[in-house]
Amino acid sequence: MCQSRYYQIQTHGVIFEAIDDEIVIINLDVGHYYHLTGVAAAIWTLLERNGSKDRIVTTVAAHFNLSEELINEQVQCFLDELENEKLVILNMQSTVEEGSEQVEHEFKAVGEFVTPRLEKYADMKDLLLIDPIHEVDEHGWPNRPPAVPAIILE
Amino acid sequence: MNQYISPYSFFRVAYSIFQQAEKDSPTAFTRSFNIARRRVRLRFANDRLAYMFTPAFEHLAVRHAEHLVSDLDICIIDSASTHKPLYMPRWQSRDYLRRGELQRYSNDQIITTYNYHDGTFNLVNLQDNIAIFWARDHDTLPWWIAGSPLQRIINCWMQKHGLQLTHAGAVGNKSGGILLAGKGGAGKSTTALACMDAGLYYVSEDYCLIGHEPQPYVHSVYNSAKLEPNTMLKFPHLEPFVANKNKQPHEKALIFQQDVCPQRIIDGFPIRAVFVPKRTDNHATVIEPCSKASALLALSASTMFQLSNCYQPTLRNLKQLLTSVPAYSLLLGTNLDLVTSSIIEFLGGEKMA
Repeated sequence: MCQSRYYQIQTHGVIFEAIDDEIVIINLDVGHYYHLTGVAAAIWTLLERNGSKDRIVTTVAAHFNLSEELINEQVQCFLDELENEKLVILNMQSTVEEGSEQVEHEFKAVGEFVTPRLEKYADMKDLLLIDPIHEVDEHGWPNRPPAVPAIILE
Repeated sequence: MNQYISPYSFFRVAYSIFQQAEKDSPTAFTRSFNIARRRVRLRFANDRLAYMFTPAFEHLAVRHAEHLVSDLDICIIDSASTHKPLYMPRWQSRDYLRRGELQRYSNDQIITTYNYHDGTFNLVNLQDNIAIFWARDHDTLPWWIAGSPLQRIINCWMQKHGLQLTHAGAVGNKSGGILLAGKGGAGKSTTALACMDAGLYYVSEDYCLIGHEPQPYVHSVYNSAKLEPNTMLKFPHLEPFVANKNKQPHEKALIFQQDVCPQRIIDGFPIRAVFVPKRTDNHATVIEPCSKASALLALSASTMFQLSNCYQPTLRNLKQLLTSVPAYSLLLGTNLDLVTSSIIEFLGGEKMA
């Protein structure tokens, strides 16, 4: 029997907000930001309540009247993507209390099933400190490494 | 090597050195400004530092404020011109967070950042309402500081009062206006300047303060505009007002609207909508509803990655704005007159008196 997988939303350096059934996620450490809509946003909300992959698959399949086999593959791809982006952490046991009866509610605003996708934006990455402090001068001030160009803020 | 000290001790040491420099200097002086209805007093250790810090706030200047109580004092000093080195406590690389926050020298009341991009220390004492901007040498500060000075200090202190420094343009009339959200190059500057020329009021071109009480409201902070060469070509009448005439090739042209058209600058107005500009090759401009999440992304990403001390409360603050006002895509056409007429029509046809 396969052990169930649980996913926990990363709390270190990752912040997010839901607005109008969509999710905005910002990875402050890396400089990437993300947008989730539809099924992807609903899955993220399920992850907040209960990170069980099996439960997500069952819920999605039941709501859209689709086979669990098909949904399992697509949900796993999406969760792998979230994990690769370090937005979630894989656990072998739940760190969240068992989900409530509201789980089904997350899909009410979603129309047809669409493959969950993570929209990623990386255009702000250069604004972050890359390698902040290499050394200090004789007065103790930090020095910018000479190889790192100045970034012109708008 | 110096030892680790507490955040408050670091602040006290820095402040006492500043006070001594202020006392020793025959040219130390202060200027006061009303920023978001708070009196902010800039205390300069000498007159060599002022030229970079005051023009951007000039539209908010308070005259004859020497005896008035301030809400926030910002002490501005450099070591080169005052011959006062800043005491450097011990630190290690791991003491720094990604955007320069020095966590070892910060707590609930003291926020210390090393601004990697301009090489300055910024210390904010939220309890005593005193902040310190400390540079090594004012002659080596980057040009863009003059356009939007003291960003990190203003952001940290205003957050305490429920206001968020936000990367957005803002234009409108006295009864309300729009925010222009998006990263550099999206069309914020061009749209804001064109709207000003067409008769709307100007609050900001890139940074403004956003509050929620009693309604969504945008406050002006800087009267500056930083323009790429191709944007300058669209506004040739601004050429005589370029402040950094000897600019390097990588520098944008810096304009102070206070020099150009002070009567068209307003200190704030209620926010009626958030616009997300996108450039198109079409002749006409189209305003169409967009998802609030898209607008939140446009507003938050460039704000949060450019400023320090922006975490979940900042994202929540910007979300609160978007739950209160509608969001639109502004599909910018190539004809600037049609851009401005679309926005003026959206605002009900009202321009400044």
